[in-house]
Amino acid sequence: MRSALCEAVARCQLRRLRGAAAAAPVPAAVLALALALAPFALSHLGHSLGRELAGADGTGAISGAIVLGPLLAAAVAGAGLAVSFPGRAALGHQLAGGPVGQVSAVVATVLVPATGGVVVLLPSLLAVSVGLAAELPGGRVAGAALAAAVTSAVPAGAVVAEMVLATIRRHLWKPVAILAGALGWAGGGMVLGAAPLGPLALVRDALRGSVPAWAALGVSGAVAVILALAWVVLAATRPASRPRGYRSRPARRPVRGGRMPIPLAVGALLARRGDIRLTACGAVGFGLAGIAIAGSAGAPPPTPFLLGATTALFGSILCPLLVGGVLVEGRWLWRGGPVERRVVVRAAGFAGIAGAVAPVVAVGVVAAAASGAAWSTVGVVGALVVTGSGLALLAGALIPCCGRGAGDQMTTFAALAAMAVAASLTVGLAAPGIVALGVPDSAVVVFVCAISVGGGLVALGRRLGADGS
Amino acid sequence: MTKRFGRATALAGVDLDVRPGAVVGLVGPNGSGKTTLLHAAAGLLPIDAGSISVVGTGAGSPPGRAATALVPDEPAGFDELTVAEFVSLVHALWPTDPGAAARAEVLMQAFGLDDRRDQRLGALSRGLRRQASAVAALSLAPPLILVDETTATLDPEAVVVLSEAVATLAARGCGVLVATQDLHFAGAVCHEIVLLHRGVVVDRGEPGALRARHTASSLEDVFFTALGDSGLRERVRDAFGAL
Repeated sequence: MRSALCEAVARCQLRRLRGAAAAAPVPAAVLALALALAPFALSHLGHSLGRELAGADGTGAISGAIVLGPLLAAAVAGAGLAVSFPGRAALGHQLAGGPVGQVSAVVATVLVPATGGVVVLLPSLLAVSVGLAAELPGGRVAGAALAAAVTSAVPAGAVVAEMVLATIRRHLWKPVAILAGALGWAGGGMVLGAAPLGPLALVRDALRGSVPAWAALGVSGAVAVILALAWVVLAATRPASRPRGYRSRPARRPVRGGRMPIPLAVGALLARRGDIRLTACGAVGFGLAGIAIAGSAGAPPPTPFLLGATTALFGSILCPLLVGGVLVEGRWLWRGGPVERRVVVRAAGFAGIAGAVAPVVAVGVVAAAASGAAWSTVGVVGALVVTGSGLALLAGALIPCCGRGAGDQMTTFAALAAMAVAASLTVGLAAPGIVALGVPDSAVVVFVCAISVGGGLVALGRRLGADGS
Repeated sequence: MTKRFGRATALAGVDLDVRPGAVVGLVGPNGSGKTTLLHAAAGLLPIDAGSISVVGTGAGSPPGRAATALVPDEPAGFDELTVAEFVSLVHALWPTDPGAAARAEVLMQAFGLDDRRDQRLGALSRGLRRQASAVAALSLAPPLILVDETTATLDPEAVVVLSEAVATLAARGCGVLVATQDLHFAGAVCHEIVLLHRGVVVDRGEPGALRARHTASSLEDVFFTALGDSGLRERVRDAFGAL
């Protein structure tokens, strides 16, 4: 029974990807090539970073930052995944009513796309981690432990998201149980000298060479498995969402004079989605946590700003990622009405980008006030946000997340991850050469931002104009 | 049973019995609670008070789910599967008897889907998609069959096929609960009609008995009389005429 459902989901997702590749064969080929090459380039990058950091880690602060930064980013991404996970409803009413167990339904819905995401991401993550750790006292095995730790942070963030969802839906035993687990986590971390890292503090120590790397690898691998299983159980028993009737105040009406402008309509469609709201709140929460952790560790500026803002970005990216699905679901209106397609696409695209920018700005303002940040750092983060949002628009347009198919949401996330890896590789290879020709850094950054946003808007336009979903 | 969505009561003290071999029709205006009732019976929605029993087990329990098949109003998901693959998947998930595949074949041909069996669900029109969904569900012949918005989006031929399939399955001992706005279909196929309005059963009975009780010539007249909307047509005409 389980294999039939898993097989059906796998078949659907493979056919979706094949359809997307057939619709745009050249970009698909470029993407596949970039993904194949990315581990080599990222290994080189890891070695370069490791050589720069080797010898400067006397206090362990750098090893701690190497672990904590990616962990926070992965956790917020995991929280976003969990919040946008549709649960059993993704099977459709007919199959959701069938004799499929709750855990089986979650596993079938998540397993295949998650495996795809891991296949896409893990080689690159391993390459950069192992490359970096090879230059540090811990060696390559410590790098593998770092990759496992980052992977484990994804279900950790998802578990935190389940805690928030359960609290909102007034199922209080889950938050209590998860908080007890979090206390155990922090207690373990305190024993090892880094409460936020919990047992993963062993990875920090392994990078410094003070504990055996194999032990850190075993612990981080076990943590990843335990947290993944915990999330599956929590997702399978997730309480139903509170109905609208519980809300004490009605939705605000942005309509004036009987006409609703398109940007306002798209903005309302996005802003009223529970998953986007929750993820934005999560992005701010995780971002502020990053600032607090960096501040308490005495990290110098602009570390708190960078850690907080980039962590927030990983959560807020959901908004532009869902724009493609929102447009597809409302295509009957957007295409049927007497409005130019580009007007709709621009409105949707910029509403999505605004949704990604807002949480980052909120966190960035706090970080800048708390620890300060140079304008150049603000510019770098701003470019990251715009470029990331553009890539999310592109991924969401190519593999729209409409929330109506099993695993659709995970596949869209995997597409974004693939594009992020490919874009990093392309920019990393091409940008130094362009700068060497005398082109100013800022011009290259603006060009990259414009290309990503422009590409996203063009893809949205094509998706809106395409037949079928 | 009672089901609330926040402060709105979708179903208030609804008491319903679908016996083996019976076709019960749920009739009522939009928002009256028909789909909510079907989803609750299918185990898709928890209820706030009361209970739903399917062949002696709770709706939503594994045996209850195994004994129930739902044809939803809007079949969704698995767009990339073909019609034949979807039917096979449903047969793999539910317990089936040896005759299920043959029933699916007959239904497929009757609905005219046999030359579309290799088409993907996402490429089908909504009506064809509902037919594929009906083939999968009805071929299981489970103890309880739930059909939402029974004739919506179906062409006349498909309505005939569906009504014959429902009647045949009922004759074999399946209980069938259909939600419909098609009063002609309800009158022709259902043994009992339950009239829902704002989550409350306002009337019920055999089609003929309902007509006699309301001294109405048609079920449409029964519908409007029971809902207190007998002057609706005139009111709307006057309101628009005044514009």
